Amino acid sequence: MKIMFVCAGGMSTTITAKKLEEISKENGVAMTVNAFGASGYLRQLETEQYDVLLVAPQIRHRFDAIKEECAKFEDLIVDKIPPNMYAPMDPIVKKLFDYIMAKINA
Amino acid sequence: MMERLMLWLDEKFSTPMAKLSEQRHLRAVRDGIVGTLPIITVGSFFLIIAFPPVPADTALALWAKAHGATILLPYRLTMYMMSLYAAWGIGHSLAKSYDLDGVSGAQLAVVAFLMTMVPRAVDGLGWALPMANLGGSGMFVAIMTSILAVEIMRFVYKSNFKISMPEQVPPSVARSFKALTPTAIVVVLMTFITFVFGFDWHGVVTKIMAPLVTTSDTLFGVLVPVGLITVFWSAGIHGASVVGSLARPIWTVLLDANAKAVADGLPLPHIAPEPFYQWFIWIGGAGSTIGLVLLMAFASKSVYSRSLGRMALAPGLFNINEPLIFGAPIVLNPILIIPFILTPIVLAIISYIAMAFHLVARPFIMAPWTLPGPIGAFVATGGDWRAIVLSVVCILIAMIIYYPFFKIYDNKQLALEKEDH
Repeated sequence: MKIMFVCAGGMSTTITAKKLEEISKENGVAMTVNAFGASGYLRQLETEQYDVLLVAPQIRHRFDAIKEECAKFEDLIVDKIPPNMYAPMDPIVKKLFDYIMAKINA
Repeated sequence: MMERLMLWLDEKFSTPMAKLSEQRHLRAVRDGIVGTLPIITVGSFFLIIAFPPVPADTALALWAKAHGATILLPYRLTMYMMSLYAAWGIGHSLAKSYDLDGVSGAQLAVVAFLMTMVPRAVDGLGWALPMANLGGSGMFVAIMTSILAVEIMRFVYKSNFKISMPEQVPPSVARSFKALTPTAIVVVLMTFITFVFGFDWHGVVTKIMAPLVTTSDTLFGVLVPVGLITVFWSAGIHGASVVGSLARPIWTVLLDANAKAVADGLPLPHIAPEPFYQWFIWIGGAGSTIGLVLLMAFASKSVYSRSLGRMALAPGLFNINEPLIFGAPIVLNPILIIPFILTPIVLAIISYIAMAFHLVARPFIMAPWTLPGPIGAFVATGGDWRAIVLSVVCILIAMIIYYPFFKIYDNKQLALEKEDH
C-alpha cells in the first residue's frame, strides 16, 4: 500500500513518514510512505500510483485546493492528518496508523 | 476558559486568514517568489566570494579584490535581476490556476514586465536595457504586470471575446488568430502606457510602496509578522507560509537593497530582510523552539518529554520543529503557547537593537534555511563572527524564557505517567 504525505516543503513529514513505515511493519501491514511538498506532489501523483494522500495539519487551509486537484485520481483516498496524530512518536503514530487503516477499510 | 479562547481564535481568525492567503493571486505571487529563492540563494553566495570574511591583507582577500567585478557577474545575472524570474513564476502559477497554459502565461508576464522599461541605444554597445529595475526594486511592478498580463489572457480565453472571421476562414486559422489576441493586447497596452504616455512604472510604484517598505524595516514592522506567525502556528497552521505570502515581496526588496549595497561597497541600509527572521528569531523553527527542545532533551524528568526532546533535537538543529509543535503539543496548549509567542518577540527586539547599533553585521545573504542557527547567522551576515555570538545569546535567552513553562509541562507529564503506573 502506498501513502503520500503532503506538507509545506516535504521536510517535516518525512520524519513522520519514516515512523509510520516502521509502525505499519510492526503491525504486519506493508506500507510505503513518501512525503512531498505542496508544490511538487501533483507531479509525483501523475507518475506513480498512490492509495492514500494525507495533508499535514499545518497546511490544512490548503486542503480544499489539494482535494480539488486530486479529484482526477479516482481511487485515491484524500484526507487530513488530524493534528493530534502528527508527531513522530510511537503512540501518536500508532493512532495515525489505526486512523489510516479505518479509512481504507471504510 | 483559555482553551475556549484558543479554539475561538482558530475558528474565527487563523483558519479564515489562512484560507484568504490561498486566494489565487496571492498564491501566484507566493509561488513565483518562492520559485526564485534557489536563484537568490545561489546568486547571493557570490557576494561572500567577492567579499570573503578574512583580513584584508590575506591572499584570498587580495585575489577577491582584484577580480571583484568578475566574481560578481553570476550575482548580477541571478539575484540582481530576481524580479524577472519572479514575473515568470507568477505568470506561470496564475495561468495554471485558471487552467490556462502555464508557459504562455509565464512568457506573457515577462513581456509585460520588460515593457515597463525603456531600452536605450548605447554607442559601441548596441541596444541596452538598464538592469536596476529587473531586481528586487522592480518586484512590485513585476507582480502588477504579471497579474495584468495573465488576467488579459484569461479575459480573452474565458469570456466571449472573439475576433469574428468570415465563414470561409477555416476554424484552425481563426484559432491561431485568437492565440495572438492576448499577446497583442498586452503589447499594445504596454506600448501606450510606457512608451507613448511615458508612464514611469518604477518611479511611481516605488514611491507608493516606500512607506510600507520603510515600515517593514522598523522594529514595529518586525514585531507584527513575528507575532502573527506564532499566533498562526499556535493554531497549528504554517504561519510563515501564510504571512510570507504577503510579506515576502517586501522582504526581498530589503534583501536586494542590502545585497546591492554590499556589491557597491556601501553601508547596508536595512536590518530586516527575511534572513533576519530566519537566523536571529526562528532559531530551531518558528517560536524559537530550540530553547524548548534543548530543555526537553536534557532537563526532563518525565519520560515523554525527554523522549520527545531527544527525537525533536536533530530536526530542531536544522530548524524543523513540526515534530515538537504537534508532539508536545504546542498547538492549542495554553501553557506552552505563552513562551512560544513571547520568546520570538524578545529575540526580535534584542537582535534588532544589536543591528541598529551595528554591534552585529546586517544580513544580506540568503542562506539555506536548514542550516543550524549559528552557522546560518554567520553565513547570512557575510561571515561576521559576532552573528554567531548573537545567535548563541538568543538560544540561551530562549532557554531562560521557556524554562518555567517547560517545568510546568514536564511536571504535568510526570504526574500523568505516575497515574498510569
